[in-house]
Amino acid sequence: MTWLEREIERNKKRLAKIEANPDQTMLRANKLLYEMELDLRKAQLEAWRTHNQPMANSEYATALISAMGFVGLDLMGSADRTRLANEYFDIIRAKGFPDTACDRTIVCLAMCINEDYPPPDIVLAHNTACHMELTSFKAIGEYFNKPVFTLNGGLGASEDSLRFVTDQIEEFIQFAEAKVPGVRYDEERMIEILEIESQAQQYMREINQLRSHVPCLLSALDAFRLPRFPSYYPSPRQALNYFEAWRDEMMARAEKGIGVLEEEKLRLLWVVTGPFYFNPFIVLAKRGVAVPALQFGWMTRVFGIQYYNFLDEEEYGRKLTPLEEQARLLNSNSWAVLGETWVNDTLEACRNLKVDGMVYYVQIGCTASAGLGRIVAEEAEKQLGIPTLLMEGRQLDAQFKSQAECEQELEAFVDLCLSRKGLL
Amino acid sequence: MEELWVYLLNGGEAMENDLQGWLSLSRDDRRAERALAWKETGRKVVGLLCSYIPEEIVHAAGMLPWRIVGAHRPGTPRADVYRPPHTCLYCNHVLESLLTGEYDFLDAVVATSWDQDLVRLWDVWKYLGKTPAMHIIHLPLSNSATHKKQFAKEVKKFFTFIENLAGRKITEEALFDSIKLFNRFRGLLHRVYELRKHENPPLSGSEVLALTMASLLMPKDEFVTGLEGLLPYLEKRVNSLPVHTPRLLVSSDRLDDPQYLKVVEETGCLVAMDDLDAGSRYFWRSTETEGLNSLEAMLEALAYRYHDQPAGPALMTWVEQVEQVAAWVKAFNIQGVLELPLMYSRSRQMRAPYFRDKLSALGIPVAGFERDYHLANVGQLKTRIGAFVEMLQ
Repeated sequence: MTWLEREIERNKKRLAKIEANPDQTMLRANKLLYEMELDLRKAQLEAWRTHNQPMANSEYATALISAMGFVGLDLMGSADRTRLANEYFDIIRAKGFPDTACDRTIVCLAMCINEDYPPPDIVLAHNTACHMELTSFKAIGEYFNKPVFTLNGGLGASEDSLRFVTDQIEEFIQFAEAKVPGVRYDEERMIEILEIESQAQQYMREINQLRSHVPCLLSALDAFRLPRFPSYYPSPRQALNYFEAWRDEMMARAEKGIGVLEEEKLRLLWVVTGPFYFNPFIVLAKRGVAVPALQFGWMTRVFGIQYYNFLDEEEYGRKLTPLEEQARLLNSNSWAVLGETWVNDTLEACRNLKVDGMVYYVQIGCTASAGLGRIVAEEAEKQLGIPTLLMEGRQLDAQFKSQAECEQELEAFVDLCLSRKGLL
Repeated sequence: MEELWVYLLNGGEAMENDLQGWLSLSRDDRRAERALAWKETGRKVVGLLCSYIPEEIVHAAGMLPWRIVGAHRPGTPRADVYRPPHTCLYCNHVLESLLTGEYDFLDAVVATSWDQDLVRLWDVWKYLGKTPAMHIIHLPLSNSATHKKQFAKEVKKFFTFIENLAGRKITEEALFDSIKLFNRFRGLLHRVYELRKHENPPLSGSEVLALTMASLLMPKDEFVTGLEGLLPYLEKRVNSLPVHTPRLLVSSDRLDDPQYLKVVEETGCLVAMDDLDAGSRYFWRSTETEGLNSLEAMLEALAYRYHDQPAGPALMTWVEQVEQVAAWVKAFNIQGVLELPLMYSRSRQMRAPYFRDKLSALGIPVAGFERDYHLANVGQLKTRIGAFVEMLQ
């Protein structure tokens, strides 16, 4: 059984579990999410098996990939979902790739090599989140002898870098239409998708406003989940329902005063990523620690904390074309640009969510964030007076650091934060 | 005894002394020597963190472009506070040097987005505020026309930065003179590299790297004049290596310690060619000088020259990179390619399987061994490289 088939089974089990015995602390809207995930995996499997639709890696350019008629392959997101990836690391080592690279960027390559996941028919190799993803996309394309198009973001959002990225998107469309039979960019479809994305983002903005509610309305696991725009999924409109349901559920909880913790003593912002091979939030919940959000490269934009997104006319002082809209997103990840943006965005997220501290996960091999943790910590202390735990770790390689070691670090940090609040 | 024999054969104590003086310039204790002497004359020094920064512009403004090299000593305790140890070791060693005050004399530092590790080094450098002026050049990573055009815009921004730093305008005449000087410099290094094609070349591989490193650390005018004087001597010189086969090409990035190539050659081979950003890739292409009748045209020509240089693996031109190395293998009669990836240099590590597979498919023997930034694990490296050399023999 391939990973994709196993993932389909896993999603079915999740759905059955929610039906039979729902976890009251988790969002009921997750049922819609798992249904969408199930549809996505089925569509990917069908495209792989039957070649009924061409496939392209979809990371972040999902609106474009969808409007071109591709089935999107979420290489990085799929790697995240392997949870524990020892067999994939063995493949990486055997093939001569670096096992110290960021887990998700290297595991997705091993998944394809192991025939657990389909290699894309065409690769959009880009650094719009980080340089490691660029090299990983490139390696996948070259390994499977697929056409590769290189797209670069700028070092910061500006009219000039927006034009640069838009030009490349136009070139990618020409490249893909020439290289992959049956592919055609459909602008009407793109406009339709962007309108859906814009609505989804409005929900996410409202969700974010509810995140600062005390008591915290979200379990840490729900807060930690990377939100995916509707265009990730085969049916974007259905995805819109999920965001609406998520928002509504939080509003209802707020009205009733239902928090996820019995007694909330602290709230921490979790930053970058975390270990996927165990749940680090259990130990925090036991100590009364809420984690209302995960700060990642697009967090402050996607949740409307700091920037604008789809269909807004203020950021650039004009209405953007559909391809510029895609370029705006690709050109604005605060991991991919100069470090100052990531530092400022992280502090802004702390202010916005009124947290007492941060857990900054220093992901081994992360070229984007690992080298900025210390600056974030120093500035958080200086500007906001809050402490930061710089927690070194890996997403998928449990051999690097055990669950017990991680939990010990978290406990010690909670003690420090409680003590600073006069609660210990 | 062997050194005496070399000396007698070469017959020029003064020339050999000059050469040895240059070849030791990249040592930790001498690296800043020329830059400090330059500063004493009241002129500015601009530290460069990458080979994609057009030095001609700095030179035309009357300043010294000086390549930043990290301290070649074990351990980076100060840098480890800001950068986890599993990140690019060049960046970690450079940051260590910064934090120990070794770059306090710099008036400015310039980086590119060659890879994200380098950008993050620049971020920390800027945050620490230890250098008066800072600039970063966005380097688009493919050879498409759009990427080249974008890089040309970046070169113009860099030009403005340098003018502001100098406090004066750079004239067309000054820039054109610099372009011509740097082309002359590249032509001279090409002549040195031509000598490497000889069965028994006058310089060992480690000596050639020491020479190109010297060119990165001293004023170009002085280097050009000096090398023009040295070349007739070099053409007759005999190197002191006991063997001259097999002939290897060494491929790496941030390999700026010639001692590494000395270790390679001590296993019983000759490094007859390199694919290094401090070696061949640094000077291989010249700037087109036809029709340069305006500053605009000169900046564009510089942009194209720098963007078109033989690339390292951070750029996505992997096909062209293999083609270039294969062409060098043929031209320099190379028997094997030795890749020495810098530990945690993700770009090269991710390209490694492709690089090795493609070269192997062309019938070129290739081996790769990871290395530290400073000279370390010598015994282990020698054993592994020795096995590869033995196989080639």
